[in-house]
Amino acid sequence: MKTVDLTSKPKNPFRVPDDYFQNFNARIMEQLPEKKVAEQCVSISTSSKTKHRKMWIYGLSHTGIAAAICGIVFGVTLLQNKEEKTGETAMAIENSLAANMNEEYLDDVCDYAMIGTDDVFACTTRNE
Amino acid sequence: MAHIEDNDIVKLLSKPDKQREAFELMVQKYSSMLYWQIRHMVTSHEDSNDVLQNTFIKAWTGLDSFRADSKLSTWLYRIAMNESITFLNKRKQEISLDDPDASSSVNSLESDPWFDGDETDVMLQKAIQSLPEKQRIVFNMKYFQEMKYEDMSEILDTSVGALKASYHFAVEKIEKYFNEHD
Repeated sequence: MKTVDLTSKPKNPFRVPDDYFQNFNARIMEQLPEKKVAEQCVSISTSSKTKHRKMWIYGLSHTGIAAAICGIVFGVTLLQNKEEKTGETAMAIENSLAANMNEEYLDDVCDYAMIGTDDVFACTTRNE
Repeated sequence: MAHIEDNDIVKLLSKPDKQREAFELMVQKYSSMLYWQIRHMVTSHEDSNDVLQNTFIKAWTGLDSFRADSKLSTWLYRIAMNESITFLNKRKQEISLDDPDASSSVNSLESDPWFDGDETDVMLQKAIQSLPEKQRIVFNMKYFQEMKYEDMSEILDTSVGALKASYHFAVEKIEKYFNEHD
């Protein structure tokens, strides 16, 4: 019966060809792609291409800032208009609610006092 | 080769004109360790060679993504693990549906010139291949490479507790495999 003792030091059943790692190191270095183009892009230079790119970035950044400011102003204006409208609307709603509340309140009073609303109006008209 | 510290390699890597020199030092230092990590996953020498090459090429092209606050070894091991898994998944897809084990390199170990094991070693490799992916990785790292759990935790981004549990279950399954296939 085959058994395996996994508590003892393992045996490595795999082999590699002689000088594999020395040869591998040399082979892999030959295979590495050149990074020259990337390095040129990254390095600081005074070439016209870089100058042009810098100016383009300069212009873009200022345009971006101007656009952001316009956006903020527009947004604030929009918000203020919305608040005014909301204020007007809120007042109308409040008046409506107040009116409704008086009528409801009147109904409740009448119910409690066991009098009709006609009597209430009659009283109020007489006093005036 | 004189021992070189990872910090020295990282410093050189940060200089564009010294990158190739630094990378060569990195290859010399880590090629053997990474190879065995890969070999225990992939089993075949030829396949391991391919995966190891892919690992270093990926490391070279992804040097900009290496953050100096993480360890060089951790970063390299992760790339090696991912490349091994990608290779195995790709091979699974290429295997014929009629005979799933036909192309599996573990089944041709007996005829592999780069395998010196006996029948027990062959059965152990088959048992390891039958484990779920994560357990296989943990078992290989712990049993064959004798890695510390703390180092494995950094590489696999898994807690030490979870790794210990993984290893425990892996051992259980391997022993069960031996009992069932004797």
